[in-house]
Amino acid sequence: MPSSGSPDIPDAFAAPSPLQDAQAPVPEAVQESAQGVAQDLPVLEAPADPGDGAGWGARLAAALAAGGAVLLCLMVALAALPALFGSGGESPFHWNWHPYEGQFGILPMCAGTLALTAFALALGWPLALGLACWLLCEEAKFLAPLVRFTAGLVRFMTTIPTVVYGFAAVFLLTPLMRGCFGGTGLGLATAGLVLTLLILPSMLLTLEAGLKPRLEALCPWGQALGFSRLQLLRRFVLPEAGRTLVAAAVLGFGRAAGDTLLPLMLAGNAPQAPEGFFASLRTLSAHMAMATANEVGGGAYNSLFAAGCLLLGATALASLALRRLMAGDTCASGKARAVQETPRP
Amino acid sequence: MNHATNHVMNQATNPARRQSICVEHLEVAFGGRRVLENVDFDARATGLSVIVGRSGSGKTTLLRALNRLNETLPGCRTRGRVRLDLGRGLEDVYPQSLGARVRPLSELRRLVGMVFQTPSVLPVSVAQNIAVPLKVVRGVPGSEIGDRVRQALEAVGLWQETADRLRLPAASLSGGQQQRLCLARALALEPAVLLLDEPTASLDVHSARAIEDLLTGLAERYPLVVVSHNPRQAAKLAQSLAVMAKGRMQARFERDIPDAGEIGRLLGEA
Amino acid sequence: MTRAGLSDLILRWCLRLFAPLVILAVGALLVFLVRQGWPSLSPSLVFGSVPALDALLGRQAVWDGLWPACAGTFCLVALAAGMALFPGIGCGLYLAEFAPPRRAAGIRLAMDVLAGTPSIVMGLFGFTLILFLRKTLLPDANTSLLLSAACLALLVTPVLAATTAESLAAMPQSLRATCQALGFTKRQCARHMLLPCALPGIAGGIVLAVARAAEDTAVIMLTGAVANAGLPAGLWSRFEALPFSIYYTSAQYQDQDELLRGFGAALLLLALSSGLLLAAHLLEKRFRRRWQGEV
Repeated sequence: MPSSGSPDIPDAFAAPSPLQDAQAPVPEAVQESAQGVAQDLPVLEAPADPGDGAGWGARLAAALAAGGAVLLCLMVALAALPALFGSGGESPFHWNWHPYEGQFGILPMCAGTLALTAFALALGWPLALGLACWLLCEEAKFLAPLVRFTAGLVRFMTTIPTVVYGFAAVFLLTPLMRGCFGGTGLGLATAGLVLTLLILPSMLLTLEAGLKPRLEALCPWGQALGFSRLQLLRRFVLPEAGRTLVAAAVLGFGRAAGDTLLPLMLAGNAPQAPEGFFASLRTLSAHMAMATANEVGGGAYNSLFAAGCLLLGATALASLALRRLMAGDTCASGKARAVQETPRP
Repeated sequence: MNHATNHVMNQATNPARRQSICVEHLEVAFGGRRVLENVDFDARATGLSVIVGRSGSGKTTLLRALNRLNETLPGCRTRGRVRLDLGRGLEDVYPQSLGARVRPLSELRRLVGMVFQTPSVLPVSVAQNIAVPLKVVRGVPGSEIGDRVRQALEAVGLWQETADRLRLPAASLSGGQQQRLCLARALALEPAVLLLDEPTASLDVHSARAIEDLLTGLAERYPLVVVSHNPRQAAKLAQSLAVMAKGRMQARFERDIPDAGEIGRLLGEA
Repeated sequence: MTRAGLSDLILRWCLRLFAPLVILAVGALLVFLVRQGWPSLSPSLVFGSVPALDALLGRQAVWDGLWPACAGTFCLVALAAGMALFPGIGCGLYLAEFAPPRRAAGIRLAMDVLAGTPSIVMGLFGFTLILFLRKTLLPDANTSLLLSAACLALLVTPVLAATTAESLAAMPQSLRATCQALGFTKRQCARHMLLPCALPGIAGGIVLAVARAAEDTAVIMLTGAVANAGLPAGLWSRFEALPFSIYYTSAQYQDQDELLRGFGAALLLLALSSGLLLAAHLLEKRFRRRWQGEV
């Protein structure tokens, strides 16, 4: 097809030339140069309409919100600066927390956070995955009410405040643990169990949101081939859904590492490296809550800011990783967009 | 049909022959794919021009080039010249040179009314559908709005049917009523040109006929450009006809509009 | 039965065990809470021995009830929501409608970091802010209701921004096209069409933000909540709050009465936050039904 020049009009219409009447007031000069002119004309750009830009209100609001985030990071980082780069003795990165001897090491708390988070994830992630699969795949009619109930319960669980979990567990789970395993009943396992419940729903909902569209896309004809939903999920969806699985784990990690009240109320808070499932430990977050509550001053503050900075860094990395994972999850996000744009039948 | 025009006009020219739309060498590409190639098109100050073509022939793109709605889509590049009579004689819609002044987009789009294939009612009440654009785009004072809404609805014969339903959501109207509401909304903004993109394609036969009758009436006062893929409708409505295929203007008829069978054959060949 | 079929059957039954496990755990905690807290649920839980009307009007101080904590939480949440409303919704609007791609990516990044920030770090931020102010401009600045509210506002801003941006993105493209064809500028379209239509969705976000602010404990722990402050005396004073008093009771309760009051408070907070989240859920559902066809 030629890119310029007059269009090829079939002979039948060219003969009486119906065009001539219509072209009344076009200047002759323009008509003369009609052939091939289109190529040389400038590309027409839309002029900026002032009404198409954001108003000052929206700009200010965005600046405020983004500025708040920047200020937060800046303040926490600046406050932690002397602690992070302090010389030898003042550095908080050692294993001894003896405030009265001037030793403010936060490594035990780092280990505590890691241990507790690992415990909760090791328990919570498989649980979330299993529950998500079950919710998506249960085909038995007699279990349908249970599926509905569980799905509702999971959504309800997102509404339970942390402090309520903690309060109930202090008076229910702690005596139970004390009775079964001795000791104070406060420790890694107690806090970890409740923390598992806390992070379970958000992980489960992430998994469900990621897996469901893929499974539904396979379902009608996959089932026609004789696969059950569980088989489809296991053989075709899960192997391809690595990103979703990791995203759920990262989300759970962020939640678990950042939570304060459960470790504070249930983990015992002894400033020592975690020694076992039933031994007391202190996490970074709980440490921060306690240090400020006691207002020690000096080196204690330094360790406090270092802890805050570490925690912020870890959760910020988790958020970034999460966005990357979600953005790469083209299937799920594409589906979400499609759902948003087209009305469902 | 050539004596009653109610908008400002050049006194020197005969309204029936005066041009109101003039498109020269129009070329539109989306992301490098050319959709329109060297299209010329014009329409008189009153009368109903129909553009027919099969889907993908570029007829909707041509229509959208007139009110620059193509530019809301990503990767759109437009070359060529489009002039419309928006009350001050023919004027350029696209700046022809760097820095040339043209009407702001919002004013252009207000003066070029458009009705889409599927009724595009705003998600507010029937009355608000007309009132909000009037208030926001035209800045009509609140005291006048009630009257204007009524006039607009009367102009499309919708007042009788909806007078007691003005506060209901517009989506509760039937498809044909919604399409007439869209037409009323466009009319209320006092356009200089009306563009209709397959206005009856999503309607049943009766509603379609009502719209067609309405358009024939409106053509006595406005320049109307109707895009259609239906040869029967084109033959019935057209006072001038343009046939498009593969992004080019294939044929134009100013008088002796061919009958439906002939148009169908043209489309088939194109 | 084939081996594959057998392994699927086993897997299926294993999966079926997971649900009862979770139901049992959560159910046990909830039933325990309700059984312990139920008897104490009465007006005297909130108002103690003071007549309700006198307490509400502030004529008499309440010392043995949750009224000061409830009032403190109410003030705190109202303040925080008020402070977060403008930046949150405005930022969502800017993100969804106006921001050029690179700037949008930057703001999204900031919102992500903010959303992932643990509330204890947010509390530490407020604490640092006060230390900083003390050293520079205001030597007698102290942790207070205003500081807590500001930190909570920052904490819930990303929630608001995300739901606003999402609700706006859920508006059909045809609505924008119609507005543009009618000659609306982008700003007019956003102001007169998109925002009003997205309002139910945004309202859901507001309720969500309120719920988040009401339940948060760690932030206010570091920024001004105390156990015995009475009714909030002003923006610059310390205050009591429901979640903090729950935490405090669990650690420091003196007698059975206080403990029972703690259970009552926990039940109250649970009802409050689940009520709010239910409201948010219903709002969102209505919004989706409105914009994505008849479900």
